[in-house]
Amino acid sequence: MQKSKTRFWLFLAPALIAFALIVLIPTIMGFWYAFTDWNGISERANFVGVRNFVTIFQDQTFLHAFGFTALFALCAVVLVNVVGFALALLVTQAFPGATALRGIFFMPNLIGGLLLGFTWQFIFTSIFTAIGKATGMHFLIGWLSNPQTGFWGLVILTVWQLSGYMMIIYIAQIQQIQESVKEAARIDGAGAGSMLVHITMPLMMPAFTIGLFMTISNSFKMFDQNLALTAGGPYRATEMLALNIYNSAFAENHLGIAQAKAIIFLIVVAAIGITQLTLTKRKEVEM
Amino acid sequence: MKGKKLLALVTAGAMCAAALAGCGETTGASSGAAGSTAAGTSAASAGGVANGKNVSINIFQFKVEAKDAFQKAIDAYQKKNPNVKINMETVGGGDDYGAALKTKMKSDPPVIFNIGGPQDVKDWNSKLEDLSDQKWISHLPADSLADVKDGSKVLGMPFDLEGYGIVINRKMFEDAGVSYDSMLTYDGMKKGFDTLKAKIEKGDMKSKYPQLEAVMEYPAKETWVIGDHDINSTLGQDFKNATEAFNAKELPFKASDGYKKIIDFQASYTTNAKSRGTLNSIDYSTSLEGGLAIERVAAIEQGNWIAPSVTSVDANVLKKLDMLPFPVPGFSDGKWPVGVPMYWAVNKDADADKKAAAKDFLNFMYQSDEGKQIIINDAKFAVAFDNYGSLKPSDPLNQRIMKAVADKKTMPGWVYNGAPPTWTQKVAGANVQKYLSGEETWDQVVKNCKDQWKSMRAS
Repeated sequence: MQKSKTRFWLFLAPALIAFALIVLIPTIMGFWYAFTDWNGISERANFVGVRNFVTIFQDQTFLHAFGFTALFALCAVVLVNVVGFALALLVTQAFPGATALRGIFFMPNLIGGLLLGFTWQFIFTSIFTAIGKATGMHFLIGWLSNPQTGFWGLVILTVWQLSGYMMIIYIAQIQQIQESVKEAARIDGAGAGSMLVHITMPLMMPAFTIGLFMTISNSFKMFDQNLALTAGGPYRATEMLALNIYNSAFAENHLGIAQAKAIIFLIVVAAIGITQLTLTKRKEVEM
Repeated sequence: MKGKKLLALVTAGAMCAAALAGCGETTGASSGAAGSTAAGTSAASAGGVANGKNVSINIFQFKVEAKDAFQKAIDAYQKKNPNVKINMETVGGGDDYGAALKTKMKSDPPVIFNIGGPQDVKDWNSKLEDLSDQKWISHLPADSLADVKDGSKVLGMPFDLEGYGIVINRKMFEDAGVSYDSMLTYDGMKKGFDTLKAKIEKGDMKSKYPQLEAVMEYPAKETWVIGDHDINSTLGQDFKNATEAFNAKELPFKASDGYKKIIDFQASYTTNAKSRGTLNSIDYSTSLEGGLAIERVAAIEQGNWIAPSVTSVDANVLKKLDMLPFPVPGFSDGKWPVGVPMYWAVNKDADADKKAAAKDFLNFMYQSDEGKQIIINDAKFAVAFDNYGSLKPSDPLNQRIMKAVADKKTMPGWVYNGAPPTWTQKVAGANVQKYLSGEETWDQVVKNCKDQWKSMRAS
């Protein structure tokens, strides 16, 4: 017993040390910096109490970024999962090319966020404009020049990037649903619609738990895509939380304030994530 | 249960894929932004340059465009001084360089690095070596050092001389019957631009310039254009230089009408003159590589630094270009904003022999005959030094800036460096975007600019 305990810690040690060095210790140091006026350069950081936290709740740009990110997360989470689930249902049907389609749908996820952002920026500003001018569809002109199109641009990019990823997770779960269960349902007279609602979806809850958690946390933490696509413009209207924190840290040189923002950010995202996990876990059923 | 296990496996697999994608992206980003030219070498030990012991110094600089030229200077210097080994690392961009320098200073402090205006001088003060005993100082006009002076100390060496104004396709205007000399004032420029606009609308220019669709492009997405550059001459009415702006608790903004005038002027000659909000999505490259350089527009507000980009699209177009003054009526007619945007600094905390080598290298790069050739012909810089003799830049934009300096027709070009950090772009620039989109009136822009200046200075 004693021996196995030593062995347990021995095997755990490398991961634990790495985790402590890269995550735990910086986080604790970060908590300290949140209460200082450190500018990121000077050797000294003076303790200022809760002043940073008072400042950030009067900071309009931060509050705006918070609201914008929440709204974005809501739209992105719903759309990514709906599209991902629909794609999964589509490619699990037997038709020629289904396997190839799986690969194609997953592919956007293999491209880095910065590249995606710049690629879509080109699509929205140049290609949309060209199509709009050629066909007279005026809503295609001026994308990313105002907050609304900037918002939907970000949502479209995210759905395009993440849906394929969610699709893979959902495919795995769909394939786990036993044929016998479906057959029984069919014998009982269930049509395609009620099969989906009463058989497939309840049995897919474990996948929804993971899918929702990942899309929620990804949407809140989004940075690369935001930086590359709009960089927060126009007039900081599409600046999301991560970018807002980055700007106060590295553009405005207020590391202490940025750190305070990051802590609030961490608490909120963790709270939302945990709530969602508990709620959806309750709905999971075993076969 | 089995189902859960497989699901877990797939999720883990997908996460690995994401991690791989993440890695790919990191390398992509860093090789894109940071063109590291460092050759692997170990740090050398003590000993002066003179006594031939080995010294190794590292440079951390931000000018991506001049990276090859600097490397050429480094190679030449190392040939002459085999005991000195120089490594250069380049990270481009304004905020990005600043952020990278902060981490670099903590992990692997460079001996030579770059600083901007008074804010950097204040932030990095404890790291800046006094360069006031250097020989090159006597070859510089006093005002080129105003923003890196701390008492009698000189804390930086000018990187280059940059100037901006309205860059025009001179040939195109001449083909429309408008001469360069007639456009040196705001009114003259307006007249000339109106003439060309009328000819474009009538289709008179179509045969010679099939791409031409408007007189100007205005990249309002770039807050460094609508913030930094466009507000500079206005700030110049309140403050003589960046240091004066830096010390100001409040912004008088007495020439704010001039700021409005220059914004309205530029917007009115674009294809989006009637839907100005759309300008907020026009970026630098649309206005330059996709605008001026392909003769889609005849003019943009830019500076001498665009020469390499224009050459890479069409070298013939560069020959047709020229630069008009920055035309705010009443106070900057006939004058070009010119100044030193960045400086070289030497790390005070480095070993004495490293510092000596660093100073010697900077002197070599800007003052030796070989170095001067590289600075003018490879880096394509305009410089503030008065001892470059007959060496002249080869492109019309740099020549125009040098001529403006020689004729004393310049005004301070980097006053905005003295504004509170991010004020010019995130306050002035952002409010102008709101003004263009119709979200704010001009009075609100002025009020927000003044209020934010005050509150940013107070915090």
